[in-house]
Amino acid sequence: MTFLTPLYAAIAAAIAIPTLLILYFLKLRRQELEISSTLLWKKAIQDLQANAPFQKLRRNILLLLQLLALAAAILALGQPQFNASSLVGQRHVILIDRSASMATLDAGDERSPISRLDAAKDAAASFVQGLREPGLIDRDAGDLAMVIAFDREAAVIQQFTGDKRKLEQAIRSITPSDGPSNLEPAVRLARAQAPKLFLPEDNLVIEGISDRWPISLQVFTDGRLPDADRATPGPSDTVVFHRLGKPDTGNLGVIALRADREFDDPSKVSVFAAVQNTFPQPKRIDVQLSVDGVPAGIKELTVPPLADGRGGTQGIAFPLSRAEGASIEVRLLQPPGSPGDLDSFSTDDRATLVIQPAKSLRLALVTSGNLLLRYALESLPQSGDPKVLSPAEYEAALRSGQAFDFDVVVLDGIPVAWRDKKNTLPPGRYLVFNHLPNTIDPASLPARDPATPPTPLGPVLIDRGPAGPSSVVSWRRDHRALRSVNLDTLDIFESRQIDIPEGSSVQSLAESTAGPIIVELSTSETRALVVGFDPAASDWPQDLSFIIFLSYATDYLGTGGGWAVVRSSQPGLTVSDRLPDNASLLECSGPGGISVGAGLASDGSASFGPFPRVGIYTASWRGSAAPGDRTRSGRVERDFAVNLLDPVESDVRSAEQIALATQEASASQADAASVVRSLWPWLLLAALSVVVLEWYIYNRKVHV
Amino acid sequence: MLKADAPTRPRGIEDLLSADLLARIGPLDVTSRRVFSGKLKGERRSKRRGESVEFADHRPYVSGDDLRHIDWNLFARLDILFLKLFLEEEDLALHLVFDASASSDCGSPSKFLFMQKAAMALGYVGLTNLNRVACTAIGGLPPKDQPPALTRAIRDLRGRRRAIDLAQFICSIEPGGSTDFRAAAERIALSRRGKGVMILFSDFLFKEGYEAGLRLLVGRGYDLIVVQVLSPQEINPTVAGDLKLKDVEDNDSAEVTISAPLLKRYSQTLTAYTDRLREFCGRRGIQSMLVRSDSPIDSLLLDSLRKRGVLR
Repeated sequence: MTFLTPLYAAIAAAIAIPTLLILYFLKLRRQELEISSTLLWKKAIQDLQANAPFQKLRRNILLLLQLLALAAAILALGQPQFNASSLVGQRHVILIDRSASMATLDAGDERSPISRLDAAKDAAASFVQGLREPGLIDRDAGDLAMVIAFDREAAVIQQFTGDKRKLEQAIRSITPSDGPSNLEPAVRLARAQAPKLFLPEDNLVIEGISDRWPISLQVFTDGRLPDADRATPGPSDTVVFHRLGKPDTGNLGVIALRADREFDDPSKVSVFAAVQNTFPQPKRIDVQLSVDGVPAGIKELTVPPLADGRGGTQGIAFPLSRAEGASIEVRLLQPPGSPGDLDSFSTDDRATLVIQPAKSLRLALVTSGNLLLRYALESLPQSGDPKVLSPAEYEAALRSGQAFDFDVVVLDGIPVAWRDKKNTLPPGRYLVFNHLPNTIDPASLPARDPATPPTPLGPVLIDRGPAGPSSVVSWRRDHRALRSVNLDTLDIFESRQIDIPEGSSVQSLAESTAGPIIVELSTSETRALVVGFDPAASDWPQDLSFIIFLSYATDYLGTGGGWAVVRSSQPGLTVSDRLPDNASLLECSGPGGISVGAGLASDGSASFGPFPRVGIYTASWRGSAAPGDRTRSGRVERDFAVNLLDPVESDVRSAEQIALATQEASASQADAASVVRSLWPWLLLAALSVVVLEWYIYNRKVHV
Repeated sequence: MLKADAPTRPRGIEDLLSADLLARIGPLDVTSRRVFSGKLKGERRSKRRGESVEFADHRPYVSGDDLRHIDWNLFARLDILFLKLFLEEEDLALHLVFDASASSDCGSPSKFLFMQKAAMALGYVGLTNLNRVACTAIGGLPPKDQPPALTRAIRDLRGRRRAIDLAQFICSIEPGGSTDFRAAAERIALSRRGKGVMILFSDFLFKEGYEAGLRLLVGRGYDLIVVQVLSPQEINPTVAGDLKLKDVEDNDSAEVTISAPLLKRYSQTLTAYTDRLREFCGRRGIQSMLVRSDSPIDSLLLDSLRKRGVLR
């Protein structure tokens, strides 16, 4: 228990108690009255006294009661509060995790569990009720609190205020989302909102000393925070981890889902799903695949148990024959005859995909007669016959605009120019062999100060001239164009020496002993994969990886890296998609009729999102339809699937502690969540009661 | 209950007895449940066969009887001597005693004034009916140049003309001082003359108790009637606040804080006290009654005392 204004109470006590004692010891001056006889009065008094208990205490009981009432009033003046000592800061930031895992139903009563988010709201509301209220005398003595809800992003729900009703309303207004949780933006936001210290007499800025009030961060979460180590609270800040949920709550969830059309037969779709099990025992479940809402197959799957703190995973594949587009759903089901629910976290028990209709890419090969590339491109399953153009024909097509009808243009050592700029790629998608576009003269680069960050240069390269034989050292295996491509055995006899200047946005995808050998240039209008050697001057054409690279690279360039097959995103993210040129009046709505943002960018691509919940979202617009889009009521519609697909978020075991960049916060602190209660109203009530009691006793009392 | 600052004192019979009251009490006479032998022939029919004109009975003549009482007519008819018996007419001793202590001089109207008026009225009734009337004041301040005395008395008043003397005596008593009721009762009992009716007026608020005094008085053959006079303020106190109550007789004090429970307890104590007095008297053949000092004198005489057979 602490006192908000102990000095006032001490001063009042120093004055009031001696005064009361002096007044008490001064005898009451009684009015003198002559009567015929005191006989009857004395008898009456004796009778009264004989009937009253504690006669000896009677003399002092009034004084005791008065002292008691006075003590209660003086204590009330000191404004005592319970447990106030456990709270360091007077500025509290209530961070409430509303990510997907907070929807787990393992909080509260065993028989009627509530979600972790609901429990977090209850805990945060009771924390708010425990905040110190402004004192009667010192209005600044109370606490202020701010409410921030976070999932992938953080949002301020309520600014700093001492109004408990507002704070509780803000807490209750937080809605769940299906996104993953990121603590770092929330902490950054909290620090940014913390009030600044005002030091008018101090003009010194001391390195490393925060100029903001220390705040206490009250984090209401289950602790599934993959980025917690990047969250940096201030050096004086307090972090209290209010843990929600149970540390042993297991879960089965779909953590990966994708669909690929086969190269040789695009009408065949393979749907892959990975299921994670965080139960301590292996789980046998049924996985149901539905196509356009109709169950298409059920497979039994046994998922290995939790091991070494990591959930067991097991993949499953469904072959599907579907040339047209479809929405696909994978759902985890409890096997028939098994009791109870599958688990207490249902968001990841199903995942959806929208696959696009099978279509062929329109390819153009600009070459002076390279048969190798021509035959290789013709052999690609997803492309029809590529259009072979000479450099002159291509320039004519550029001028007429027909060149922009191609999905991907393969340039075989052909320099191009765009709008009088030499060696510059026009808008479009390009696979460039044996030529380096967008090169600049290294002499034109400004002299760079090592202390300053490099100046952005855009997607530019420096051609250092021919390089000798080289071999590939490393490559980006996770890039969609290089997926499943093995470049270990590639020997290059002659290549260009590519240099990526500082400040360039060019990304190197493969490094040879002579430097970058495959790079990606990307702007809002142009995307190009540049291979810095002639395949004919290497042994690549003899390797299967050449064809695979051609296939994936054209697919990546032509479809935006998989969008042609599926349109999928995660909660909290936005997606960008290309719409027909005349698209207008964009809208996007999701499960339960929720509406999300939709907008057209300057490069003709449309953005949708962020998506708050998982499920199928439908973007619609007025205008023409692309292949695979459907038209309803004069509007063209296109579906997106939004899935959690997050192994960390699907692991719903609540953490014992959260390790931030600067400190650790244990769940035990939250178990002893302090509740601050102002005692002065009760003390005043007690003082009043004692005064009433004293009045009653005074009226009963006869003092002789 | 409270002592009056400037009490009004009666100066003569006209202050004690109003003409209206005189007219109303004129037909009254003092009576007694017991028969006493008087000293003088009075106007009272006695149960004794006596010499009045009122025939009572015959009895056979025995030697030594007064020949004047022989019924000669009967002797002529029966030739037997019969004596005619007549009802004896005797006088009655009426002893009026009132409390003149300081406590009597309290209340509004004053208890002492009430007792003076009541004693005068009863004395007048007694004098009118040729009774022997005595009047004694217990306590009171002594007259100038006289030593303090337990009691002061006037005795052997008879006849209406002595009413003035009685009134003078009553008016001469100045209340004050304390009372030793037992000693005063003893003095009265020892100095009695003959038997008769004794009417005692007091508030009976004696700290040493009234029992011993009453026993002394009743043991001497008086037909004792006790009239307890209390002021309205004593019956229903109207005081309030934190008080230091001071006894006018012995200066004893009691500090009280008047409260409802205390007033209730006082009322209970007073009731118990008067009940105890009445019970004490009842056991000893003493007639007792409680009278408020604000009640009219004629109602005391015409109602209370008449109902109890003290007057007729």
